[in-house]
Amino acid sequence: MSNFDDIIKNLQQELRKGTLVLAVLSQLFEKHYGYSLVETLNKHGLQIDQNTLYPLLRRLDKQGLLEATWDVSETRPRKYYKLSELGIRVYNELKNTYYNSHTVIENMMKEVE
Amino acid sequence: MKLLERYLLQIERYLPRKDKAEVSDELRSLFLDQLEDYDDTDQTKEDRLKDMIIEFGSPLQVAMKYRNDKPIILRELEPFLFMVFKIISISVPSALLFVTALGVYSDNIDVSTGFLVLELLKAIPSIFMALVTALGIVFLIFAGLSRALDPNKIEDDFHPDYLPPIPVDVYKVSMFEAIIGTAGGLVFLYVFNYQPGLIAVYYDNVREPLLNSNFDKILPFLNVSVSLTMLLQGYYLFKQSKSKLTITFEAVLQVFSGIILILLSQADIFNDIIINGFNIEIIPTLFKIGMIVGAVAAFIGAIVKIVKVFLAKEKR
Repeated sequence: MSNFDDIIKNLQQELRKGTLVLAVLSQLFEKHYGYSLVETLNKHGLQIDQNTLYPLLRRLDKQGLLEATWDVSETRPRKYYKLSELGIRVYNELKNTYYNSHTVIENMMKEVE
Repeated sequence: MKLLERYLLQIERYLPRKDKAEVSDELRSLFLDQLEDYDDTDQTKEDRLKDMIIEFGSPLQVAMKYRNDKPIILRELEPFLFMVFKIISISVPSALLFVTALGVYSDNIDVSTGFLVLELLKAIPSIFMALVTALGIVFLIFAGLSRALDPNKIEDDFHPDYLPPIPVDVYKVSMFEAIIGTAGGLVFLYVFNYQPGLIAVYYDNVREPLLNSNFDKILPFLNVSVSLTMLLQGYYLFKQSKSKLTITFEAVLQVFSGIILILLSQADIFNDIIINGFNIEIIPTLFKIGMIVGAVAAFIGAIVKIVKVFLAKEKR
C-alpha cells in the first residue's frame, strides 16, 4: 500500500472513531442486542467491525451510558442494550457538539472551494 | 460448535478474570445470531463459522479490544515469556541439583545415598532463590522489550484450525490461595533456612531459640513439602486452572504434609530452657494437639478433594 493510501486510511479511521460513539448511541433509544445493532448500523450505511462494536458497547455500559440486560426468555440468551438516562444526556450533548463542529467545518471548507 | 468454544476459550485467556464469562457469553451470542442468519447453501455452518472467526481476528486481537490497561508484558510476547520461563524452571533447578551433587562427591567420594539426598534437600532453598532471581531477570528483560517494541509490528499468525482443543476437566483456581501459598512458602523457606534461630525469646540481649535441633531434623522434609506446594501454586498462577492430575498431586502433597505434622507432633522440638524457664509446658501440649488436628484435617481434606474431583461434574 502506498504512503498516500496509508495516510488516508489512518485519517479516515481517526475521523470515523470520533463519530462512532455518537452513531451507536443514536440507535440505542430502541433496545438492541449486538447483532441487531450491527444490522441496523449496516442498514444506515455504517459498516462497523463487530470486534470493534462489542468492546465499545461494553465500555459504554461500564461508563453508565447504557443499560444492559440479559434476556433469557428466548431460545438463546441475548444481551440487550438501551440508553440510560445518563446516556441520553451525554448523547444530546455530543449531538450538539457534532452539529456545531459540522457547521463550522462545513463553512470553512465552503470558503476555500 | 466446538470450534466456537475453542475460540472463546482462547479469548478468555487474555481477559481479566472478572470479564471472562461475560465477554464470552456476549461473543457466543453474537456468533450464534450471525450463524442463524446465514442462508448461503454453498457453505456449511462450520465453514461459515471458520470464516467469521478469521474475519473477527485472533483471540489476542479480540481480547485486546476489550482491555484498556497497558500490560507490563505485551500480550504478543507472553507466549515467548512463558516458554523462556518453562525452560528456566527446568534447567536452573536441574543444573543446580547436578552441581550440588557434584560438589558433594568432589568433597568425599564415599558418600552414602542418604547423605546425598539430605544435601540435595538442604540445597532446595538456594535453588529456589536462584530460580526466583532468574525468572525475575527474564521478566524485567521482557518488560523492557515490551516498552521498546511497537505492538502493531509484531506478527500475530492465526488460523482457527490451529486453535488448541478444549482441555478436559478444568477446575477453578483460587488466586488468593495461590498467591498466599506461594508467598507464605517463600517466607517459610527464608525464615527457617536463612534465619535459623530467628524465632526465639529475646531477653537481656540474649537470644534463646524457641526450637531445638529436633526441628532441624524435620526441616528438610518441611522444605520439600513447602517447595513442592509453592511450585504447584506457582503453576496454578501461571495456568489459572487445575486438572485432575494437579488436584491428585495436591492431595498427595496434603497427605505428605499430614505425615510431617504427625512427625512434628511426636518430636520434641521445643527448647527445654525456654519451656521450663518460663514454665510454659502448655505450649508443647497445645502444639502437639494442633499438629494432630492439622494432620487429621489434611488427610480428610485430601480424601474429600479426590472424591470431589472424581465424582463431581466438570466445571470451569
